[in-house]
Amino acid sequence: MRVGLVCPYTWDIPGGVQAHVRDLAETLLALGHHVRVLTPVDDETLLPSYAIAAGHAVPVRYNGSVARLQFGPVAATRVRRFLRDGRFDVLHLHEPVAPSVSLLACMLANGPIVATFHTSNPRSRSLSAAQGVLQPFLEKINGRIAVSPAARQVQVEHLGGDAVEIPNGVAVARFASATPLPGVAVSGGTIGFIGRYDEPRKGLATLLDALPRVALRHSGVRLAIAGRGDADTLLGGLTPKVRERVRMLGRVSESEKAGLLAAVDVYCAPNLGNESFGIVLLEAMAAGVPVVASDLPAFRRVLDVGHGGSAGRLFRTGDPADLAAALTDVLDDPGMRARLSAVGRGLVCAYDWPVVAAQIVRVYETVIAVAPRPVVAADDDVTPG
Amino acid sequence: MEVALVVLAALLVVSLWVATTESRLTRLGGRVETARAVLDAALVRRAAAVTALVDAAGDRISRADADRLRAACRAALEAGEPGRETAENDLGRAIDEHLPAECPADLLTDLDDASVRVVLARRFYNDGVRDTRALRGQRMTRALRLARDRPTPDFFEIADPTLHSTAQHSALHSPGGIQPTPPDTSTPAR
Repeated sequence: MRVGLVCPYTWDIPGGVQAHVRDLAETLLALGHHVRVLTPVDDETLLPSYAIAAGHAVPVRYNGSVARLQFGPVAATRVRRFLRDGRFDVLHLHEPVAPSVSLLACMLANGPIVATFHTSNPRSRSLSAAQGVLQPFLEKINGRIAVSPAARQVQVEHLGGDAVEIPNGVAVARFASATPLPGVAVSGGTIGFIGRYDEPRKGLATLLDALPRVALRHSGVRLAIAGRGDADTLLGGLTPKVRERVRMLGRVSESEKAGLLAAVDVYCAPNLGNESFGIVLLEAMAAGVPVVASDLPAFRRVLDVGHGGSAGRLFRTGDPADLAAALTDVLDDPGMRARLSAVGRGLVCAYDWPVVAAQIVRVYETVIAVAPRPVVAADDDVTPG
Repeated sequence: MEVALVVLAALLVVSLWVATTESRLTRLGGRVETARAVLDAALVRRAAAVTALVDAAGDRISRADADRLRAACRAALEAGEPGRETAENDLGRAIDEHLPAECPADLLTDLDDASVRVVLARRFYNDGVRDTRALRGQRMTRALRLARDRPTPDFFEIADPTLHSTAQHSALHSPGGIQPTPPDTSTPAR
């Protein structure tokens, strides 16, 4: 099958959508499909052979944060060329509601179109307002995919459509076989945290509050923190007793992240809310690490709590005492860690990229239909409709 | 003079809008038609997968169960509109209640694959119907009777099938997998 993927965000800036597109492309290639990706990029030398540059993206304030988007005649020319050269059986757009090459491709392409919606955090008014303008283009999409129930809800409530749910994938083997990052593991027990630690909703403050209480029982416990943020500000605000237990790793690459997860005894996700999927939990599960997480619906679902076995322990969201108790329990009991880890490794198989990609291919096959016709650029289309 | 210009401009805007809406309706019509063909094919494939299972079951299936399943398949394949949804729902129930306890794994996987494709095809078809009805229902479209020569597509409402093979269960009914949908409560009737 010839698949054209369109990524709306700059390829060489790390992000969930970019990682999703990259892993999907590589999985489809490994399954023997022909795949091309169109994406904005800053440094074209960083593009893999299957990706095609759509040019530079410019920073725009969108959806409460700064997104780097691309929209204009240059991008339009590249989209047309991508569609002509690709002769795709199906065009798969990611997040085509932001003004980006994805939306451009949606406007310019005719033929079988699939779109994956990632966002679950709508600025409902701007999305609802945009819906009227975008509807003539969005109604060209033959099949919509949402990566989570929350993302699907955005479709239903704000974009007047519906979608099938297919979760984010995880490269299970990459995490299961990672070599532990040297110098992270300590004999007294190591807790891992990955995320933007200067973002209050990630809940690191709760974890830092809980740390001294965990140390009452596990005197050698350490916390390894990876992610974006200002390390000096964070460390400067801590008491010396907490600070000496914290190890800052800064921003980590994909392979370092796998190495970090391989090195820790327990992964902690103390988020306060707004988490729609919890991909890092799945990555921890793939690495065989037990998880201690806030009691959020998304985490509950991913950890499969209440289905006769769980890959982690939940604590009352935002409650340091309850978090400390949960961490202490897990660190205390190697048997429990082994059980949680085994359940996690089993559960995460359903999210392995080949499994997820097979579900996505079924969507492609469903929109390609009984009488296939290729994707073309709109003005090349000689047949009406 | 000025009045004439304003009228001319208004006529231009209206005719542009009419042209755009006409082409949107045509495109949506094509989308719905294609999606319906896929849905029909998926339903036929599901019935074929059930027949194959019954054929392969031999004496592991009671005569009554086999007859019931074959009859349900036949009824689903022969049903026209209206009555198609009822017949497909009946087949879905027959599969749940009368499938032999032990089936060849490959045939069961085949049935589940067919069932998942029914779920996808139905969702995409209903999406197309929803978009079409939303556009037809707009005040301007109605006032100018742009859709008068086009058939109004109907939603296809059946219960999403249950999956039967354990392999498919872990892959598709896992938390976050393709979930059976609740009935559409969000049908916009603008």
